[in-house]
Amino acid sequence: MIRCVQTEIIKRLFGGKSVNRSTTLKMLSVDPSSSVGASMRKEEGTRPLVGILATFVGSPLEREIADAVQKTRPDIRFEVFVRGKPTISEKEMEDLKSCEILIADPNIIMDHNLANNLPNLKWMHCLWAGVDRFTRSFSPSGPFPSYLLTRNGDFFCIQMAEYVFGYIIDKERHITEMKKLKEQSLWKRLPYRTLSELTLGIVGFGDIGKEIARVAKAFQMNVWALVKSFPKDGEQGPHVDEYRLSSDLPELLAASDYVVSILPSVPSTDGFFDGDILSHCSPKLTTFMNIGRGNVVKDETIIAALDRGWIGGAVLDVFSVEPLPEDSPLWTHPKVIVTPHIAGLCISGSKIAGDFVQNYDRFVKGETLPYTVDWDKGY
Amino acid sequence: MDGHRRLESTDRPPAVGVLFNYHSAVVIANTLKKLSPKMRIELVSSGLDLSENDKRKLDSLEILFTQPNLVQSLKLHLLPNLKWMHCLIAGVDLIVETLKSEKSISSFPVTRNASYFDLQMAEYVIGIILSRERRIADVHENQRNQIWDQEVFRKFRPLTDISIGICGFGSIGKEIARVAKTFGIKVYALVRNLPTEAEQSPTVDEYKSIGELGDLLSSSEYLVSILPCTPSTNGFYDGDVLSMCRRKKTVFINIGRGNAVSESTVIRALNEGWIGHAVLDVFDKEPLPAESPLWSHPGVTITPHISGTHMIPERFVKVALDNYNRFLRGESLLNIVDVNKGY
Repeated sequence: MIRCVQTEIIKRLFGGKSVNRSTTLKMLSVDPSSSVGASMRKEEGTRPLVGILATFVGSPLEREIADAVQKTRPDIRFEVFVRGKPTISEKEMEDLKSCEILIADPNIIMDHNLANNLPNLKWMHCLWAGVDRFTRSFSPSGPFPSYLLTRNGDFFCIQMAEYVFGYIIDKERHITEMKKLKEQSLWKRLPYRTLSELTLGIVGFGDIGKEIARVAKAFQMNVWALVKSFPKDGEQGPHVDEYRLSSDLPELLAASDYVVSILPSVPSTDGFFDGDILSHCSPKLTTFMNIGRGNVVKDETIIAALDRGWIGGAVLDVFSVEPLPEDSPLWTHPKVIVTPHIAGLCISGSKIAGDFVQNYDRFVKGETLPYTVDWDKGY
Repeated sequence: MDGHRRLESTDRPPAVGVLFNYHSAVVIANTLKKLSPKMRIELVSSGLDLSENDKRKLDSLEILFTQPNLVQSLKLHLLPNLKWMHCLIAGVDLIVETLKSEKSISSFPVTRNASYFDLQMAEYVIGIILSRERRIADVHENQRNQIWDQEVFRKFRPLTDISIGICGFGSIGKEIARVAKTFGIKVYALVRNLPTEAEQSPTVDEYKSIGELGDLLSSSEYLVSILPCTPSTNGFYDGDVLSMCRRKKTVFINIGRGNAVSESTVIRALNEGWIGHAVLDVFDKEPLPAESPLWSHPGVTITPHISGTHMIPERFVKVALDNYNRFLRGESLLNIVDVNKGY
């Protein structure tokens, strides 16, 4: 059993009660409302075995998270720390399989085929917001893992909004162009539009979409949101001017100066913007932004839409294949901005720790956890 | 000060003169006509050369919508029948000097378009901040070289981790604070008089008085100056003031007026490592002369006085129109220029 020095110290400080590892795992349904935690409560005096499987180039994220948790909650003990890259040793594999709770990078889980190979796991908390690689690896009808899966939500949202408005304002206020003018010592005033004159169409209206709408309203933009169903009376958000259903996508596209896709990667969103649908953008020469997933539109569709004068520009953070292959025409198209999947990637160990601790307490009480992934939905 | 003369009762309301740079003047006049069909508008040709006809028009006018630089050069404040002047521009420092030096200030109110450009300027500030924090220029550079480097850009500083110090907390400063708070930026506001608790804005984390400027400078990743051009703001940041930015290598953004800081101060502050970068939208002389060393300094970003210059006609004339209706009804006017304050 691998123990990090930190864990040893903590064990010594707190009496070193070892966790009962021989607990028989009850096969539980994946109904998120089932009290998975209740089964843990029954084991009085034992604490769940918690592990971290993470990697973050440049900083040992797994240590950061554990430290942050342990600072406020020495009762939550991390027994297992696995870096995840470049390899996972056999011993580390064993340790991971003994975990009952795991904070994990879902991509590493996938890389090592662990999704269905964690027999003791009752709850996995993911580091990222996007878990599609994970969820799409299962057949749509199951079987799904028996453990609860939760993902990160909150702090990604405002970061995604930063990205969206960073690029919108950069474009509208010519910030990049003014740098070039300075290089030529040119005092040249370029006419501009204010965001308050523009319409933003948000496709995919979950937490990230709602946050983007909130910020858009701070700039007095006109906001349209594409939703699965119209909100009931009284449930309409204060930041949306017009709600539309998927069947109304053409209308939303025609109305929008900017369209942002935050659609998750699920079978129903494959090729969502392919075909001729982007032709509806021509009235306003919409700028198409994708910060969701690359499955919704092919590279060729973007190129064609630009060349046909359907869309005026594209700002793309996600692609069907990442890293974007060298030969993709998106790299060099003058109206395309390529960003390497960085819209919401700032990771802070203390933030993840905070989320995790809140969830942990709910978990052991058997309460519902926020951002629980619905296996059927895929997100 | 609300010393407007009462309107003599006449059968029809007084004509409004529009004296503005020519292309905008036509748009403004047309917009006014559209929104207020009964308004009589006299379009006076702009420019510094007035024909005899123009002069006659001006002499007869009781109401004038104009811009500050024309007031001084054309001595508009001396027009015999003028009862109200509205400046369609926010920056009225040129007018103030003129009106103070002439004794005519008590004879009619001068109002201005204060709130119009606020949100645009806040957009500009946030845009500058996001462009830097998300390293948009580097992202473009990588794209030019077809480099996919996720790791480098993963480590951005979220805006929730930074502070902004706002110097000059009028309507523009308040708007910047509001938008900054939308992104979770910590906001410091420099004010002349600390507000009471009831007067405090929820978008400001800490108010600082002028005496606490050092505190504000050393706590802010970004410093935005919106100080108006008045004698008390001349050289506000000159000398060693900016050395207090050393701690965070503050990025200095000036969107107020160029008198607040000299070129040599900016260059010194950059070279000494006091400030991390300077983003300048306003200068002592505009356009910035080609020989200014600011053009070639890598630590400087130059924008040609565009943080708040975009006119949307209907919105642009709103205050003027509101005031016109108030004027006719004998009500007090909005956004009266206080010549003693200077804005």
